Amino acid sequence: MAATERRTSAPARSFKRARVSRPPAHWEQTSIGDRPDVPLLKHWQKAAAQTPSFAKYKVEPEVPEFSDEQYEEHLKDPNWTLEETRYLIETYKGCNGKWTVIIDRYEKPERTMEDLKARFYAISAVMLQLETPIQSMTAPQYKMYETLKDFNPKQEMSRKRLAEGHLHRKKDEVDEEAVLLAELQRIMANQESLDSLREDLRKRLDYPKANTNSYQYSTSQALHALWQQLVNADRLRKNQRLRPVGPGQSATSIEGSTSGQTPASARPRESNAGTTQHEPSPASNTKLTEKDKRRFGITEVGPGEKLPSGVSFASDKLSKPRIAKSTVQTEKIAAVLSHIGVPDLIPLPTPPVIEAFESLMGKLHTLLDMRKVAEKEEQELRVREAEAGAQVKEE
Amino acid sequence: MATIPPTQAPGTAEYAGDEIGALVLDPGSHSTRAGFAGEDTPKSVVPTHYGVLPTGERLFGDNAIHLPKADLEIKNPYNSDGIVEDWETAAKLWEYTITSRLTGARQTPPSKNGLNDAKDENGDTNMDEGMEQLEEQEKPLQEFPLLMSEPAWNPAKERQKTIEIAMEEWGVPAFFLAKNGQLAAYSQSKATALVVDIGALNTSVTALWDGMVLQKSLQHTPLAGNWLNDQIRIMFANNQPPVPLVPHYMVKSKTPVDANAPSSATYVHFDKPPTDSFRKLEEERVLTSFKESVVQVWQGPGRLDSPASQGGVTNGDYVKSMPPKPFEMPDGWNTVFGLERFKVAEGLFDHNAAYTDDKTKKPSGEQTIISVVNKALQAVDVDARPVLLNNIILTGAGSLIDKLPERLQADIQAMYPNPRVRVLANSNSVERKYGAFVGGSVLASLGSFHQMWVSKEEYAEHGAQIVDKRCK
Ligand SMILES: Nc1ncnc2c1ncn2[C@@H]1O[C@H](COP(=O)(O)OP(=O)(O)O)[C@@H](O)[C@H]1O
Ligand SMILES: [Mg+2]
Repeated sequence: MAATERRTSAPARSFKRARVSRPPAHWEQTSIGDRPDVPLLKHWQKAAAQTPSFAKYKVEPEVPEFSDEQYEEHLKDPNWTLEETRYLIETYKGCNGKWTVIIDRYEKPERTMEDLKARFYAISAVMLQLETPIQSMTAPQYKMYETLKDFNPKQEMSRKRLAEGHLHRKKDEVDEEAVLLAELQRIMANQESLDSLREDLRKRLDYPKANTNSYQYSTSQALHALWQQLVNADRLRKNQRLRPVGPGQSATSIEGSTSGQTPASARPRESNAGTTQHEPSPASNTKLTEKDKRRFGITEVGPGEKLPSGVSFASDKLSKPRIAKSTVQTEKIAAVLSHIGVPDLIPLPTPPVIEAFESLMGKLHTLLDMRKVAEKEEQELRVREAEAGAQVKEE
Repeated sequence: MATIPPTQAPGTAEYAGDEIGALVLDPGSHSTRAGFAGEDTPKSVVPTHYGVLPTGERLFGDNAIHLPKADLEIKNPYNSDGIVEDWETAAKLWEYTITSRLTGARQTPPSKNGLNDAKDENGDTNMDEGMEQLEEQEKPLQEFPLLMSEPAWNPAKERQKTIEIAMEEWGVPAFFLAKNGQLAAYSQSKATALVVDIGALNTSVTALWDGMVLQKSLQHTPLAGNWLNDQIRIMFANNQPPVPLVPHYMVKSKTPVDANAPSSATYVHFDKPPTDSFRKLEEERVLTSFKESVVQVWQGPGRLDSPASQGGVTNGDYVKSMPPKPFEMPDGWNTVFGLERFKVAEGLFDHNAAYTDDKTKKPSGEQTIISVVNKALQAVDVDARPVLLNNIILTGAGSLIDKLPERLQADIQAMYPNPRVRVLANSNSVERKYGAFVGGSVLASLGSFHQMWVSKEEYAEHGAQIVDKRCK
């Protein structure tokens, strides 16, 4: 570690504009490390700088230490000799306390890892307690003591047998698990979408908001906990099989559809005002009085409002909402409309007419949604009742 | 093979000797690799085969052994298990690998070069004097700590012999011996891994846990690079028409010919043709380039002969529909290989698919690469297995066959469908070829490794047995 050679760096050349002139640094070559017998690393460094030390890497794990007398008095075990106990502790030290390596290097094949752990932990517990009586142990010490004492080799063995079985699970079992997980994924997604539907409906009805999640997973709590656990476990995998569901990740995004979600800013602003007239250029629809606008049926799009792209007809606004995704729904809408006397064809689609029609349709949808939810809830009630009935019968 | 053309000396500026003076030597049965710690490729790569002249003189290095000479016998100091048999030659070869390209040949000290000797009346110089003390100064590696690699199954006697040579013949100030599987894992910055090393004579499996080799996991099988060469030879012989294996040195000039047509080449005339061992060595070079450019492993899932789908179509049938690959012998003879280029490698994974002849027996089911991987896993603690399966490192020049990593992954995953299996094969073929060297280079330049060296003093005190204690 002593300097073996000295060098002075080349004298600083003085440039005209240089403001700082540094004293020349002295460099020395040292061999570093704490093993003078191994002249391995030669290293140039500023004189008097600290030599790095590698001694810190020489760490040994802590092991219980005991005398032969202590062994006789406290540590005897009919299955173990003093020699083998010491051999175990030496091996533990030599393998840095890594049990996978200890069992690999241990030279008595009849010992299992659980035997070795049980012996080692038992000795550690006794020695810990001899050093610090239980009454005066600190909380972490006591916790350690308890863990050591509570080691159950039998339980460990059976856990390992299970783990081994798990490793060798058949391909079809793994596939089945994947199918079940997909099913669970679907169930959770449905629950979630139903939930948000209800939430939405209640908002529309201006229903007083419950301060807890309104939908109680009374019987599916276990399911939910399982879900969480599976999702967490799944996070550790690279090719994840489960995707979290929940607010912000509603059912639509799970199905991977982003239709109609193109950001408004990405679209060129169209000049059609959404009603009858389609103006060819934006410049021409300025300079119209309020009255003219009303007469021509022109509405202006406020800043930040989004327009659908392309051309659309005002009459569409009176016919399209009547058609729902399902024919059943369409029929229901038609029935309600004819019941309240709205004709199939409305001749003049002026803005006030459209507005009135739209508000009517809004109410109609609320009505239909409420009915849907009511039906669902009724159905669920019937299921629960049937379940309860079955349970009573069983008992 | 060498990373620098043999005619060009490595530039002095490339040496990292100012920081770290340690040398790394990775001797294999196919090639011997050496360089300075901290560098990413071995500067010196020398074939492990060597030539012997009738005078008994040994010739080392690419330039010497590939030149056809009558009576030049080609030998290899390793036995068929990949363990050194001829220690004297091995020591010379290793020393040649280091001194020829890295440290330079030692200078004859002025007191011995004959220029400064006082002559007696007859003009003879007195050589005996002072020999004892000179001995010390003459050792070639006195300034260089040396890290060496060894096969995992290297017997205790051979390990002690290795440290003896390093300490006593070469005079190294510090020494360490590490398993080459362990080093290959370090080259990928892994301390816990299952290393599959496909070399020339053996494929070996080594499990590593937190930097420590799990002894019970160590496995090896002869299904490796050279075995694959033999498979190709049998395939060539059975091909319709048979493929003539003509090494480069026999051909003076060639003209192009159609596929499967007889070659039209002028051959070199030898008064006394080179030995069979020389011809074999040169044939193996052609086979290596065939492996590099034509041979491909069926990537899985399943074997080459397993059904690909319903209707009796096998993976092999699917492969037949792929365009075949052409190969041209040094004399211009050429043909295309379709299914055969897959079939030659299939035996590594499926022993029933191996080619056999009267010299080559069918391997046992225990000898396939997948079986030895499984045996290694079975020998370690259950809890360690999923971790190891997730960190399988594939290394060795023999692993450079196209799609071999994919097949290994597929077959192991089929054996363990549940845990996640991941085969890490460096896409850089240089890294894969020199995995053990690169890992050794990393290890020897780590500050934390400093505590591990066996110093000269320790060797003097404890003797050769110290490798058993220190280098586990
Ligand atoms: N590009 C390649 N493709 C396939 N095999 C190769 C390639 N290059 C070398 N080999 C084969 O790899 C083997 C040598 O592997 P290597 O890891 O160097 O062995 P060793 O460590 O025993 O010296 C030889 O059988 C050689 O034919
Ligand atoms: Mg190798």
